[in-house]
Amino acid sequence: MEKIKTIVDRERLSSNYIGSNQNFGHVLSQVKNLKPPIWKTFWFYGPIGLSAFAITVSITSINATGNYEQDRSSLITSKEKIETEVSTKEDNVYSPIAPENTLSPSLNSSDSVSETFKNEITVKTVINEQIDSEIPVESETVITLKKSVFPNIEGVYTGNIKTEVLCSENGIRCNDGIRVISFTIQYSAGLQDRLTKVKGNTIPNDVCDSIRDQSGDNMIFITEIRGLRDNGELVNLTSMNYIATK
Amino acid sequence: MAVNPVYHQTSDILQEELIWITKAKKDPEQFGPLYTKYHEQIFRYVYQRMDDQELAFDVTSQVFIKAMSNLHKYEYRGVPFSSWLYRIAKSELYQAFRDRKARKTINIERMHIFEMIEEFDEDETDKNKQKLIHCLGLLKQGDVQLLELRYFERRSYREIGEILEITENNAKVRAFRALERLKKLFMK
Repeated sequence: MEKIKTIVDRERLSSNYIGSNQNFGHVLSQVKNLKPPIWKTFWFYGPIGLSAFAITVSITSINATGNYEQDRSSLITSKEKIETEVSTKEDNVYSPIAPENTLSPSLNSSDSVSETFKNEITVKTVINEQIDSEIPVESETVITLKKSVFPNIEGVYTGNIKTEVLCSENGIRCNDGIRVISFTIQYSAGLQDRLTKVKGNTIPNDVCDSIRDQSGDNMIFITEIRGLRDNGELVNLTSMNYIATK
Repeated sequence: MAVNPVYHQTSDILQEELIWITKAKKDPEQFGPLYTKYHEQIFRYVYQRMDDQELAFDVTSQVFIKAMSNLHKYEYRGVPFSSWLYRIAKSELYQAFRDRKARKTINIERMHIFEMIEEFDEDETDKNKQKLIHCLGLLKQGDVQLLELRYFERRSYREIGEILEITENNAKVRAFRALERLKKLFMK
């Protein structure tokens, strides 16, 4: 335990004496000379803040790359798995059509075999579709990094566009040698909004008719634009917003 | 028990003080009236707890330097400005004990010793006086502080609460318990 000194009946200092020791000028000068602590200065926050920002950015980008690589590898794995399943299915499909099983019985039994074959073929197609639907996921990840590609209709990227231009035969184009293969268009038809998924790069006639029938300007949102590069790479393009005018 | 009359102020005085504070927040030189008003109180509080007079003046100056440089953080809560200064003084005192190796001291008047012995229903002998002084030295710092504030400096429980940042009732309970612990040590 800390030893505390006890003083009994110490002489009481007079108020005058204490008052004579007041020195506000000294206190004031001390306050004016006080420098802010180093952690409150620009020289602390400048470099430290910048380094912290740089570290945060690098960590974020490393994580993003890591996730992309992880997604890619998991996608490849799942694709391989699906391919393996397909090949297994194919084995299963063709095994019943072995000559000794199919040719020997009556006509009725051969019918049943062909039915089985048809069913199995259908399954195979479904699996192939699954693979097709998986591929764009990989491409989407790739393309998020390449957003400098802007689609347009007759050189109009956004804003006002005449309905005739919007519905031109050339459709949606892209400058970077990318062919637009599908998109989603949202437009007003009467009192309700319609959403149409389109294959190809031109706006369908029925959509154009609906837009033409609309009195006044019509907000058009073209989203989920997908394109194909010459090397077969699938890309996602940036969305476009138009105001269709007469 | 009579309480320290310096602490308790009318609402007019508090308002006047608030005007000084507002001015001082804009211009540190306007802190002068507050310094003049509270310098003695804060010095006595500091010097009561240490032996070195020069160091006590030094610590008091530090209290006002801290107060002026942190005045922008001060919020008026309807109590005298001194309660904020006391809190700074308490912190500066601990720093002086730690950094400058200042010696913790209890300054007590003979009259207070005898009052306390009387409270314990014991005889006012020199032996008991020495015993009480010895027992005070055995108490924990927190208990000593409460006994000093309440029984040696005659502060109200409200003021003690504001200095120690506890409620008035809590100050009352703690002071009573500190006295009980001293009594227990004394009766051993």
